[in-house]
Amino acid sequence: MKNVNRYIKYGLIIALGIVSSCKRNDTTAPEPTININIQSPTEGAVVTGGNTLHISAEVNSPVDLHGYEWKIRDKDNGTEIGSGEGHVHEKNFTINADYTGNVTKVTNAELEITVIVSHDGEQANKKVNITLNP
Amino acid sequence: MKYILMPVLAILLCAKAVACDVCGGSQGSYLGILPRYNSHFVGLSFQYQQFTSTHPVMASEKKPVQSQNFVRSVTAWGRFYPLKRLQLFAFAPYSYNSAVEPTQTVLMNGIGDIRVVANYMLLNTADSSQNRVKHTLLAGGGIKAPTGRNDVTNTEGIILSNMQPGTGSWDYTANVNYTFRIDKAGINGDVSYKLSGVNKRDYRYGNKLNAGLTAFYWYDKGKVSLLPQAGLRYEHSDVDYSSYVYRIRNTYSGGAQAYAVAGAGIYLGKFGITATGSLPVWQHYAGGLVTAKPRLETQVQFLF
Repeated sequence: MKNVNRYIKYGLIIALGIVSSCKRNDTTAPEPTININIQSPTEGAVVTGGNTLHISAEVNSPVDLHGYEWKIRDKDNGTEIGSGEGHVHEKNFTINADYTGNVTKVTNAELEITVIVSHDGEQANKKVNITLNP
Repeated sequence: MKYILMPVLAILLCAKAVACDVCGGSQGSYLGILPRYNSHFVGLSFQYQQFTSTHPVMASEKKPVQSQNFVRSVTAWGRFYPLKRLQLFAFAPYSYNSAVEPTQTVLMNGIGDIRVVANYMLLNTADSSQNRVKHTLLAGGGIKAPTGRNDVTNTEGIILSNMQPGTGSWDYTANVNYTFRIDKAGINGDVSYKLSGVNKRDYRYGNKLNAGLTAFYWYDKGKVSLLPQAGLRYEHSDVDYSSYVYRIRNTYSGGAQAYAVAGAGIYLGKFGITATGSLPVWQHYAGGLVTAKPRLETQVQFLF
């Protein structure tokens, strides 16, 4: 019985040491590959005045995402001329939104879709260039 | 009295953490003072705790969504001595948790994670009735199996990670427990650490440290013993990983709190009943988005 007690005692000390010293190295983590496939508008699309621009994109991620936002900017001055967002908690989802522009001149613009990967500020994004006509 | 009534703190590690991303809070370990350190017992324990959570919003949403989270569980448990110095605990919880949001109430009921803990008595001078000053030192560890559900969703299909009956992971604990007693008064100190595993969803709850210091006093009146206790506890939870493979941290989790604990136990023959209340005196959970309310625990035991 003395031996049993001794083995238990030493085993406990070793186990406590192992548990308390376990710490994983976070620097070796791979980057998640997040695909944002913007189906509409296509690169270089021209939107004529008064027409609605339909925004459609498929997002695929190996990790749960927390939300997305889309922005349309005037590339000449960086002004934001349209935006929207959505709250999701999924790996795969589709974005559907509409934008009706009211530009007064031919505008070189870009659509940027950003997905929120973590609340630490990690994001993924994709852009397409478009032209907006008055 | 054949048995010296020597309280021993048994550590009941309740492994739950955060996320939907913000729901409930990090429920930590709690302690119960147990009588007759050398007796087997079986019993039931009831735990209740409430959290208030604030869900951050995106720019277009008007204001943050508040939710009330209720964590309740009934645990069948017992303590057994296969060897004189070795005590084994087993815990089988059933949880009935709820998250009350403005537009929905989500119920998450079910069997929780079954856990076993083994403690070895490294030092014990309590057996000798000649000693006025008595010491007991226990150390041990435990393992928790993923027997409880961890995939209950709300009406939007979102898994509220912190409110699940189980964690879905194998978790491991280590604890040290020391009791110092002079006559009928004593002080108990304990430290425990939980190392969390990763579940099938690649979610990893944060590791947890829990420590406490509790003073107690035994009153004996005929066959009835009364055990009032009061103390302070501190618990710290690391942040969770919403994806452990990619080391994506859930920054709406983790934190720390200190709380005052007070309670009393009554023991009559082979039966005992204990009630304990805990009041947070300082806390900072999930970046301040989760607020823990007072918690309550009651226990009944049959000793043999």
